[in-house]
Amino acid sequence: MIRASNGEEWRLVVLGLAMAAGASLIAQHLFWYQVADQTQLTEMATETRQQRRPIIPERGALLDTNGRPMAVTVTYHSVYVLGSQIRETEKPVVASRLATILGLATDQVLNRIREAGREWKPLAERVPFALVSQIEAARLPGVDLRPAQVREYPEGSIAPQILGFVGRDARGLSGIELTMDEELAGKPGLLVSERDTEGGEIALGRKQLVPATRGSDLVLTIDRQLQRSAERILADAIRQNKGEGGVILIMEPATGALLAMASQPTFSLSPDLRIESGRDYLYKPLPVTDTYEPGSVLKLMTVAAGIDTQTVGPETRYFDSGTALVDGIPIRNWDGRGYGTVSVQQILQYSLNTGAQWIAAQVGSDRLYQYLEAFGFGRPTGILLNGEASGSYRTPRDPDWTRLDLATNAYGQSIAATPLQVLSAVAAFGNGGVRMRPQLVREIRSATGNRTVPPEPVQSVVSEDTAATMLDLMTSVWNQPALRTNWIAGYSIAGKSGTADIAGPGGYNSGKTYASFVGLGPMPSPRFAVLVRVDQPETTWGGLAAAPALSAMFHDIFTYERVPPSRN
Amino acid sequence: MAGIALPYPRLRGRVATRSMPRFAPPSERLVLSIGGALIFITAVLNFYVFQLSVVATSAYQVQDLQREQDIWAARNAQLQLELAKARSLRWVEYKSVTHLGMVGGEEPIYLKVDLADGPDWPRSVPAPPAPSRSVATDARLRGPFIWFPGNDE
Repeated sequence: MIRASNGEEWRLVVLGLAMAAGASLIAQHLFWYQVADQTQLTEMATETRQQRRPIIPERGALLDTNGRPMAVTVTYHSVYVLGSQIRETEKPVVASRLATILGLATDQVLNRIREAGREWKPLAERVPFALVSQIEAARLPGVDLRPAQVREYPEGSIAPQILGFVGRDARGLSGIELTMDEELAGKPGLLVSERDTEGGEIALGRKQLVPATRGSDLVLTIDRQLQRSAERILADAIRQNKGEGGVILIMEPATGALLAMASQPTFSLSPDLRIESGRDYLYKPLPVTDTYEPGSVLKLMTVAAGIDTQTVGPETRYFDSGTALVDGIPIRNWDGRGYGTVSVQQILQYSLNTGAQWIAAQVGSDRLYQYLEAFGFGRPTGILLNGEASGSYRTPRDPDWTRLDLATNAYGQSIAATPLQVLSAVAAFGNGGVRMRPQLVREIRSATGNRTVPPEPVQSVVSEDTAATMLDLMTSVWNQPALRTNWIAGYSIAGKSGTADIAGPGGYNSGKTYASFVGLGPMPSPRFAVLVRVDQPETTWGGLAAAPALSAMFHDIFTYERVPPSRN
Repeated sequence: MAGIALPYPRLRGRVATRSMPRFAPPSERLVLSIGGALIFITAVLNFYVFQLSVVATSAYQVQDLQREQDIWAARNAQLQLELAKARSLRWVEYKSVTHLGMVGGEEPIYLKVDLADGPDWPRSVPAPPAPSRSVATDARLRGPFIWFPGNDE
């Protein structure tokens, strides 16, 4: 045994303490690493050699009512390069080979390879299959083919504001793509595996594979043929009337299914869509998000309320002097004329504002507003599109409501509604008085099975008798000689025009109007309801600007749907 | 059998003075056993390495095949897209007008067929199957039937 002298003992003690302190520090760190932070450090260690790669599911398709694809997701391959995997001497050879296959300049490819040091860089996107095969066969070092999903539109740009579009992450940003995103997107999968130095999967290192679930296909109510026809007719109507925009909606009264929804201004759908900032209005479904004053079309609701409450009948008489004073404010007809003694039927035929306000007064404010509410005004219809407006109007419950509101509401002014609300309300007459919820999705097809979305009745607004009477009245409106040029030989249609002044800063004196026409056909058993609106047409009036487009639309519908004529 | 003299270190001090244990020479059987065991273990390890190599190669082949399958699946989807585009209204209209010289159709002519005049036509026509789709679609499916009395609008 080594014995230290007294002078050396303290140094040994200090050395011993120092070593003990060092050892305890090491022990403490070992404790931290192996016990206290074990989980975190294990995860960090695992992270360096393991990867958790989400598997993006294929997005479901959007199909038209007959199952024709309107938006589908297709996988293309992109070429990526990694400089560090290619020897310096091999780089020109690889670049030359890639350039030949892809039709690019060799220098360009070489520069890209040199830019990509230890990080994969994209060289070409959406490479055609023939070239993908050549690249795959060439087995070039440092070259990888990576799949990328692209949303394609086989029908071209059709119903863009309804279908909407997706972002780079393949998630819906507008239209049905947004509102039904969860159904369409599917369920992502997961791949947990060990990875090599470049991030590639080691073949035997797979730990977990949860396959992705493909998104559901949605069968829409939109018919591509009618949609295309509506878009074409609307474009023609706007051009002929020198309008600023417009809307055409086609609905099945019996189901509420929307067969077409065309609106302008709009945008063009394409896989390379670039969103123009500051022009957001292009991308929203205008017939659902934007309100307008429907004008004389709303007289239908006023008359229906009068007939349903048995306050008036089609032959009830009213003396029209051409002006009606309401709270001291004169209400005048559209042409300023007085028509003398007229029936309720003639009030609709001549579209008399004075007559409409008279009926509203007879019905009473409480009941009339109850009917407007039942027709769906002032609340969203519940269609599967984002940003739906509810519309608005003052009621006696509002402090600033006056009797003048009742009078103007009776002929469709001072009330804001969406075109869809108006069509949905009018379509109720073609369905025995029952208003249906507007429907855009007919069926959901998923891996687990198909699910039909049933039509949804919202409310019985008026009685069947009232609805039938309204159809007769609307038919008489369409059959008046002034609209003779728009008649379709062999077919009968029920309709009503609407011309609403667009309010400017100084009131309704801008000289600009929304010219609209709403119709049901073929009579007497209407299967289709159509609304046409032309914004700010040169000709101003609904009967002149919108009726020809409505006629053209019904003509196309009858031909396409093979509806035989019912009269000579 | 002659013994083998194994050298051992010369140690100083007390340890060196103690007598070291003598190792008995291993028997031939033991040597053979150890040798056999070593050969067996080597063979097993080689087999394991060989099997691992084969499995790894197969795994990479499977990976390549899966990759190829993905490429072909993508190609299939691309072809379906081409097919859908070729069936699209836009393409059909373009081809029919520019290549086939087609023009817009005239007004359709609807003929009303009197059921009683058709000698081969059954007097009682079974109703078409219950509609599973929209009225719009049903009308097209019922196309030939819409001229029958009772369905005429």
